[in-house]
Amino acid sequence: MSEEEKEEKKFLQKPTSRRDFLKKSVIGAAGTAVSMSVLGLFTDSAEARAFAVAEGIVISDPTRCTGCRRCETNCTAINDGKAHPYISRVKVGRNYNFGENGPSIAYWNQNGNFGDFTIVTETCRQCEAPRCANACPMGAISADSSIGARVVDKDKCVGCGRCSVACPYDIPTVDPEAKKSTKCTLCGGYPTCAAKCPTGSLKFVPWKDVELALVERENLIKNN
Amino acid sequence: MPKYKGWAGKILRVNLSDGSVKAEDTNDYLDYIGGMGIGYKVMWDEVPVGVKPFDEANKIIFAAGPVTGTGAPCTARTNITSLLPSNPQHLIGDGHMGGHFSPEMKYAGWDAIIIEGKAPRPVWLRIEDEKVTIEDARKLWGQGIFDTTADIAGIMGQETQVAAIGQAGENLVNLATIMSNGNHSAGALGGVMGSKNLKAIGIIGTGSVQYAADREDWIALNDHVMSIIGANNQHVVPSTPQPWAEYHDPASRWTAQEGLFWGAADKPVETGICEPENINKVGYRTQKAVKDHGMIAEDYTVRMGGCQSCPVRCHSSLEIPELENYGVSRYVMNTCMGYWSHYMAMRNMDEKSGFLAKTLGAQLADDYGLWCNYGQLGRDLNYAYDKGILKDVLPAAEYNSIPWDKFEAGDPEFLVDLYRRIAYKEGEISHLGDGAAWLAERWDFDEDYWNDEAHHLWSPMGYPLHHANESNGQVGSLINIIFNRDPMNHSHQNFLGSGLPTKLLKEIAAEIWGSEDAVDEPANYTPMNRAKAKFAKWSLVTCALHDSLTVCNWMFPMATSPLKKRNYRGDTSIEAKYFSLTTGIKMSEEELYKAGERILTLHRAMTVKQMGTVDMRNEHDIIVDWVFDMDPDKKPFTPGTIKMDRDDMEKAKTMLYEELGWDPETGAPTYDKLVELGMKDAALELGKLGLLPGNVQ
Amino acid sequence: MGKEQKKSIIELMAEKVRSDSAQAKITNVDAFKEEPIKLPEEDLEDKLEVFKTEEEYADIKILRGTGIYLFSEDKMTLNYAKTMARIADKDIMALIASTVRDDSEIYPRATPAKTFYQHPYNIDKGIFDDVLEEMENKEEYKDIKGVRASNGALYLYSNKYLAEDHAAYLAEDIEVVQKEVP
Repeated sequence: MSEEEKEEKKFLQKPTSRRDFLKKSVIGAAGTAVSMSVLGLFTDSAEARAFAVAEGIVISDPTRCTGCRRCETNCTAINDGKAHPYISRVKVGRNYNFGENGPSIAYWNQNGNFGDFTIVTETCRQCEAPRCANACPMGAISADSSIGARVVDKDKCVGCGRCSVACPYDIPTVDPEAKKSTKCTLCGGYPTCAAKCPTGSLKFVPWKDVELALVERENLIKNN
Repeated sequence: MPKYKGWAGKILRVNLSDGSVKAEDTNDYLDYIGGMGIGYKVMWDEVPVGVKPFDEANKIIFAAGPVTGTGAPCTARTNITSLLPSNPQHLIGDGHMGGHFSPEMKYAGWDAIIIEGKAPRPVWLRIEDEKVTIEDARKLWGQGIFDTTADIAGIMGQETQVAAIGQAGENLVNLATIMSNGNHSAGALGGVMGSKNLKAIGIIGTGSVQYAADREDWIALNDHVMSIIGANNQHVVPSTPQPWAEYHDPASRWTAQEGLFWGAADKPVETGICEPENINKVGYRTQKAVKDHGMIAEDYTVRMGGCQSCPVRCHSSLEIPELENYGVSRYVMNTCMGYWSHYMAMRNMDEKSGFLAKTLGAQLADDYGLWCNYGQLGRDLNYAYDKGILKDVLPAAEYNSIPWDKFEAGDPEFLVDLYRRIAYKEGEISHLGDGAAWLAERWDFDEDYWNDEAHHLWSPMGYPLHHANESNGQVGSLINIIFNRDPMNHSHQNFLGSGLPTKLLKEIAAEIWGSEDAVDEPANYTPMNRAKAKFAKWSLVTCALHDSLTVCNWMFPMATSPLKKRNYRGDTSIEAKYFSLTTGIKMSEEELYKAGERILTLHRAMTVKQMGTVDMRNEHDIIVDWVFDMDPDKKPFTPGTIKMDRDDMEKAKTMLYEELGWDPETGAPTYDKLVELGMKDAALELGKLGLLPGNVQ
Repeated sequence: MGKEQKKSIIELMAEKVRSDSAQAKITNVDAFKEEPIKLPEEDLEDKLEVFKTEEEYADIKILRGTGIYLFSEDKMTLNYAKTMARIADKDIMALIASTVRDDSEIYPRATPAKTFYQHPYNIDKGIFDDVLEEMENKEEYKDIKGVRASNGALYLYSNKYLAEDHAAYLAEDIEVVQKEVP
């Protein structure tokens, strides 16, 4: 297989749940030169405002994640002072049983606990041109000054949920109790989810290594 | 708003007879904490004596406690309470499962789900936060648990957590499970769900579980627990000599070591040296596949798995292509008896066929929702076969239709046939699924069935030993007589199996139970003493407490730790600290144990009420003869035997009853004790029934 | 210069010990004869005295068997170092006997024979069987006995600390009972 074919194959293997597919198609159409890299999916630079890149992002190694979901409650403990996986900035539970596409007739061979045991943990990509920030009517999402995480200004946020709809990875979540959006802040450079992961599956990956790490992750999820 | 934090504040009551759905206030049950406590209280208050497990008047309660869902380590247990179909007197009992079900229940805003009545046709319960509906399950009925779970998640959403029964539960097999996440099962009560025409419960919860503590205090306690936590069963030394470890123990479940891998992961994952200080390796400590199957399993291991919130991964996930030859998925996951029971139902196996039997059996039983009665089902089959009983009780046509050649040849495919017959109640052989007491009566087993130690039976109620006389003699034995099924109690076992030398355990025992005499060398026992009674009480009370909080009794209490700098001391106050930080009700270890005592005593009171006698000592707390007659050449309390002495055991019962404040003569709760524990109503009710010991009314 | 040189050698020695220990190895003093330390034989005891007495080397401990071994207890426990020293002594009989006696006395437990085939012992099974046979005839090892669980697994124990019946039960417990009632 040529390099190009390999790249193409990777691209075709992108997550394609119905909602994701629609969102990503939009990105593809708008970004005139869709990069054949995974990174291309979330840079989306032709369309929108871009920020300086974050220092890095948190990525899960699917071979090491055992689905204990400690990251979810550790995340909301430090950020929200409660246990609330639904608003956790790391998303494990929703893909835990059947992977990111949900159950199909062939769930035996899909990801998830009812399938091939691969746990697909979703984390914030801290996109260069974040769709969440661009979709926000209040301008409440911006890069923080310390490490460039795209963070929600709680004072500006009105909890409308446009950021959730816009994100291809379904990361920002409106807290149904606080009525404010939540998304990954990278905990000021020391992400709790990674620091306390019992298998070291979650790691804070420096921006220069992110693309490679994501490509590897995609391949492992697809079980190649 | 709930009065305290931790609890969701509401209990869901679903009446399947009239289709009504109600929210009730959890505050009415706070003295019973949650989980098992709520379950027992509801059964005591609402299910009259004489009701049978599959009657419409029976109820089944799914419950969690205040700590579940908080993210505190090892807190995702679901307690399920009802009447036990396998118990010959249909006494009260509970099954427990891990997984992700009860945290989701809490996030949906419910501490417990009380199911009552019986639906006119198959239904499933759909819960999306406060929205609860009873849905038609006719299309799901007849399916296995795996497909049922997938179908419900397909309808509700992929994030749904499901508890379901399989064909065994539908067909009212006594030994049936309720299952979540494909491999977390609660034994004994699947048939009760089946009798109510309830196929499954699906839950999506988008809310939070709140705690009263500041986040700093909360995180500090979590960090503390992560610093003293061990491997599965709180084993605190590795299984091989390792540089960081002063001690090791080949029996330890801390199997991680250099060169030992999750061999079927998509890229190599080495378990390696997991120093206690490295919290990012806690999840590798227990390579459970090689513990359960031997080294053959290493190359098939995809990863470990387990419950929500738990860093100790005690389930092993395996990829075994050969399983597809039997029509099941190549991906199988379970642990301990979830694998071993199927080996026990076979014979004449080598390493490979044994491995396949364990894993194929797990796939089949977990989909049918068939329970093994802690391994007893398989031993019962082998006993009846060897004694020629099956030839006498099975019609010839049925007998001849069973592939005994495969059984004899150690061919795992035998299980495909056997489990189908039991799950579908096909023919006489399916009575293996009735449970040992019913089966022994039906097939007229001889005394040798009960009295041969090889069969591991413990009680005439038909359950086998579960860490009994092999676990510190009288201590394990006492723990095995109190419940109405095999005791799901690991408090003592975790301590005894920690892997530390007996000398160290004795020191720690003296600190907890007042004397080093609480602990003997393994299989070198001493006669009964007061400290052993205290140890047994502590184990029973903490177990009731854990099943109510709900935290995992296979990890807590953490009486030991892997840390030399703590001189291997753990911390038994963690549960009280979590209770206090979670709820905002300040509670000492001692005060919390009182609540555990209340719950345990309510179980006892319910048992007394159901049996209609106060004489628990002679009517209930009975141990079969082999325990006292084994090793005919040896005397009790000599090295190398776990043989017990009859008089000593009666003395042990007396001491335990005294420790629990129960009547030393009969072992029944006294009026005074019930009042002291805040259960005067129960005392008055028992008094009216003439079921209080002595003359006190 | 002399003083500096002296300090430098002891520092190098400590460095090597700590680095070996961090890699789960004990350090045989013979290694100090090599480059770059090149410690003269006659200076060894002086240097060991420094390790014993000076605060900054308090973590470095000495074990004497056939050889003399050092380890850093910051990186390795004494029990593990003792095991490694017994292995380094290459006296298989003594290794087996002392391991078995420790298990029988300390825990107490019978020692699975397969322990010796595995890391860190890594004794060839054929050699192990031969050595065991030879041990039976040696007066100093006459306390070391074998017992088999019902599944055939061989366990060793020292009858100085464990009665035969007791050892037999302990072997059966781990091999069979703990699996049937896990």
